[in-house]
Amino acid sequence: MPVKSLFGKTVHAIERSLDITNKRHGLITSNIANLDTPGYKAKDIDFKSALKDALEGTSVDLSRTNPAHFGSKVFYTEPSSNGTGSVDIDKEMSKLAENNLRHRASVEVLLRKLSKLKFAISEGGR
Amino acid sequence: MDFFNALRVSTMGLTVQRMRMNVISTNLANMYTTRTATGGPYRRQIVVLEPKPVEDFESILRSETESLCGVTVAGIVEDPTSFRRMYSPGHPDADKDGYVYMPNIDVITEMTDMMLARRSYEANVTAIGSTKAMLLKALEIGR
Repeated sequence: MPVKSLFGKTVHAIERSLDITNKRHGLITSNIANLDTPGYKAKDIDFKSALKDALEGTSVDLSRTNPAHFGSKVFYTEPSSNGTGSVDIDKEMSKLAENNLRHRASVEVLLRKLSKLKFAISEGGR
Repeated sequence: MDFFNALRVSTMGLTVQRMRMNVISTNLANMYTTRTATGGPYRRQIVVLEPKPVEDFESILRSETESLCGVTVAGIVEDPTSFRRMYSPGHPDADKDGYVYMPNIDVITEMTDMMLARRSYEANVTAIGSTKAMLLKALEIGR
């Protein structure tokens, strides 16, 4: 597939990475919004294993019929017995920052990949 | 769009915390209210929160409502604890022993609740800032 050899595995991997960071961001904001909700279970997904699943499970794009299929392994933290929710605000804020940085890094890698392609297409910027 | 849902969730968090602040201010303002429409002193009010799934077409279609969860006010209930008794024989609402029943409001509890609500509000503001930063960064793709 010529297009595939043009973009390689990088774009595919970054696409998955962005999908996962998007989803994780949603979960983290849910946790923060429910900081004071009694009995609420904090949710999270493991970035590394979700990305691994996404990259290994699908060699061809078409086999992924539903975006919810990968990375949907949501972990729950059971609420503590004292009646409050299970959200740890320090953890959530650091996860928010970490996830934000991961997202930015992925976008940055994609940008550099594209600019490298442009460079090659324009015969070295001539 | 997941990002807009994230924004929506954080906004729900902001709304709820502001509601808590309003109720706390009401409690503080009525610390010495001995006459209410229902009779008797003012009762302390508490906001009860509950998770609320974000209901947009996409999440219903994929039955993903489990994962993305906003927050809403389930109700404002009255604190059933007993009233404070204050000795004040000159007060028009005093009983025959000279005691007045004052609302069951503790300033320190209210102040700590207010600080908690404020911190939660700030956490949601930070989350919104983060969402915006990610969204803007994603817009740079292809520039």
